[in-house]
Amino acid sequence: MKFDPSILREGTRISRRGALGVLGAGVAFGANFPRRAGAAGSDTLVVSSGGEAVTLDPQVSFDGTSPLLWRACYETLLKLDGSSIDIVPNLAEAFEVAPDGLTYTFKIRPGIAFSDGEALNAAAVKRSIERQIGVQQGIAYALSTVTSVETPDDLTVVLKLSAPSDGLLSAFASTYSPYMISPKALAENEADGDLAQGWLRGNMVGTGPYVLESYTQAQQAVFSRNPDYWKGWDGNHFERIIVKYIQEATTTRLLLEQGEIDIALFLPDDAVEALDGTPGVTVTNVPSFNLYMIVLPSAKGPTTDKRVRQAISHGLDYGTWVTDYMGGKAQQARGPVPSTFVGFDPTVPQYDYDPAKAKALLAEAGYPDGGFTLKYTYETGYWWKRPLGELFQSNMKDLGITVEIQELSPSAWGDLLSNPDTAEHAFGLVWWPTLVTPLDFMWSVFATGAQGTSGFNWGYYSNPDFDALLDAGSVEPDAAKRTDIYNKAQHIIVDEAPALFVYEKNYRLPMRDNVQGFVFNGVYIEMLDYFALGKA
Amino acid sequence: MAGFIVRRLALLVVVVVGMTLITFILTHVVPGDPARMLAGQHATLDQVEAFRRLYGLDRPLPEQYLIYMNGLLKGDLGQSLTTRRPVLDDLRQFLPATLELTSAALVLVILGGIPLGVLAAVRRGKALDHVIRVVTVGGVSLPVFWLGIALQIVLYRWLGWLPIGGRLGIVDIEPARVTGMYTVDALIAGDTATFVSALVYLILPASTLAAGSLAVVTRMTRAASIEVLDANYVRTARAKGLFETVILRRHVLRNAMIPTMTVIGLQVGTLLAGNVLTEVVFNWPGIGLYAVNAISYLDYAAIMGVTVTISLVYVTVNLLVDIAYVVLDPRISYGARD
Repeated sequence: MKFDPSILREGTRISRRGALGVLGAGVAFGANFPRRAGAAGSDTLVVSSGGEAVTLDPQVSFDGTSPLLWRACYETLLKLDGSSIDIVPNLAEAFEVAPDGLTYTFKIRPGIAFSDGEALNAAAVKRSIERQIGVQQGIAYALSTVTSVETPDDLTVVLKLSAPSDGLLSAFASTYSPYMISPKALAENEADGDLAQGWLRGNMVGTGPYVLESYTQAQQAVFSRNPDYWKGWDGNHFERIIVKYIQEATTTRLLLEQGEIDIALFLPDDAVEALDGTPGVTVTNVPSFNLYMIVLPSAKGPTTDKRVRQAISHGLDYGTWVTDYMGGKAQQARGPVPSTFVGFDPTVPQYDYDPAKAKALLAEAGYPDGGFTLKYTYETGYWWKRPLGELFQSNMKDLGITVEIQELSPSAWGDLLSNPDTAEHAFGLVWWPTLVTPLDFMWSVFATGAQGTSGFNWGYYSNPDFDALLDAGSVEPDAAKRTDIYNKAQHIIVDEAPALFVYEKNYRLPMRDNVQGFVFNGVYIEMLDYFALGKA
Repeated sequence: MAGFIVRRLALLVVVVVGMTLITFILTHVVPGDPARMLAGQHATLDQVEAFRRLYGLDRPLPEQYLIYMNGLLKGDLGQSLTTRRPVLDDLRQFLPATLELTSAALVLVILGGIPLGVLAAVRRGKALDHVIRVVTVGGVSLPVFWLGIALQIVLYRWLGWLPIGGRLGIVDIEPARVTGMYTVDALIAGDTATFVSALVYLILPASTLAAGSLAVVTRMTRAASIEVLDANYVRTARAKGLFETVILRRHVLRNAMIPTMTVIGLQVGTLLAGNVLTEVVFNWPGIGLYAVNAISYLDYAAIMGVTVTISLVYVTVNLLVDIAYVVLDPRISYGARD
């Protein structure tokens, strides 16, 4: 919209009427302020996010909200195929892991350039991987066994490892990954040895389909096409991507209903369910790897006895939760690994809702009528944790166990549970994978090494046999043997019942029904493959 | 007068130091470990510790406070844990939006509240007075978040007259930044289209924010005006045969303004506080929205930064109100006591 100087002149000449005129124009403009159709157009994708991005630097954060932006500009060497967990080539056109698991070789796809014109070659890949290790943030922990990055020729990168590492390959395809950053941008913007962290917080230079046009923290990010994108622009793709940050769920709902936004991420569950059935809006309903648990305090109180934990596991009415609370958009979980994920052992038994059996187990453990109190705590902001706690409370009452429910702020909740002196609570926990290995699910929540502030083992479960199995599995290069080891670990966890494996939830993402090409992958949660999307 | 202003500025320093101390203690009494939360779900112990060291969270509390105050003197408000930027940069980005919204609401409060109050006083006991009373009592009673969402549903969803939130439309381009207030910047740039757009986006949030204060100011103006209308000098003025409009403007309004000004000054505080909810409901990227984020992540430096800024604005506005008394009423003089 161009400035018409005559308007301002008139406004200054007859100030009072001019002011009224401007106000009048405002109202008139408001009367038909641009609705979606005339506003953004069908070549633009407008995505809302309920949570702000922390940083644009794809290598330094482990937060849940930033990857949504990273994916527009940055790419990984490998990727997961569609909705599966099969690792396939991406920027690397081929890859090989030596039988001993100590050497990884990547063949870089020729002819790819960063958006600043720099070539993606072995040296560039080496620089990005070494920077990832150097910043010691993000996915760096998964690369701790890498001892050297070699470049035998211009398009080959070889990683040498000090020990085999299960899941390392998937780190090159994960949400958190050593994304490829332009070596020129890294070199030119380094300040005081910060590996360009200061600059990359607000700038993006990758090989991806879009380039950052503008970014205003907490408001919006605008991306436009990278004209030289290596996959080419044939087919149905968006011209522009706009990510808007909207905190209020009601606002987001109204905007999506009116078609002003196309996809709404990070909405609370109740807002998502309210959108289901709205004309013009579809809500996805596909299985995810999100595993919801109630973790029990294994180191304090009556729940130190395995039989009490088993009794409690038999005491929850899973069917009611899945059917009535989740509206059937979930299924009862079996064990510590989701049933659709790699390494899931279908032979692990499943706890059914059996109050009689639960009472018998309690009696065996010396609590024939229950008669003890269990604290259940949850943090504000998780829609499912309170109703699940209330169902738990009501079911446990039938067994004579009193459940006290306590709500805390997220930080207070974490503080209480990560301190072994104050943690004595059952709590709701949801886990989803970063790396494609069952270890991801089992280590952080149940390994002795993950107690307190070093992980999420806040039930303080500890079993040396289980720990030894995880250690052995993580360095076992042979897939069959590794599966065997992890299966044993799953059997131990289900038998010892340090947590109730309540449900696996379907992924529910509301979007306009004319958005095409969305494929959900449970590892890439709350991020979008923008290049695959288009509008009907 | 000068002495008075100096004294008040000295007091301002005391107030700000007091605010920082209270806020610092309060935020640290609340249990929670921001490093753990912000390092992320899968972060290792080393990563959490590194985060803690990076932001000085491993130091003893009194030391953390002294470091903060030392920085504050040098104009360094520390580093935000959530945005990972200097808090000063964050405030520079978010404060103008809040000031713009607050100013717009204040204009509505003054331009709406005072005439309505005078009108109600003049028509005391008549139908119009009752209507204004009902509307203003309603205004005081409605919570900001409810009123905001109700207005959104009616004016955005049903009627489609006004946008639902944000500072500009999805396709609008921000005006070149001078003050950070879009309406002002658009005027400076001579971009009328953006100015109008920014103004349209201001209407709903500013009205919502203003509702409560507008009601208070209306009630206060009415009460003060009634008192003046009954005063002997007004009766004298009427006896002299002055026009009613002249009486109202020259005698009633001017005398009724003293208590009204006090209330308006205090209402600025209410508006600043109301900003938090208004900004969330209307997705208005000001320091209210910033503060909500900061509080949920116990982002100490950001919380302190917002508190210090709001205290400064509040104290300054009330200083201006005190100075305005002198202008309004020549009998008031701060110099006499110096």
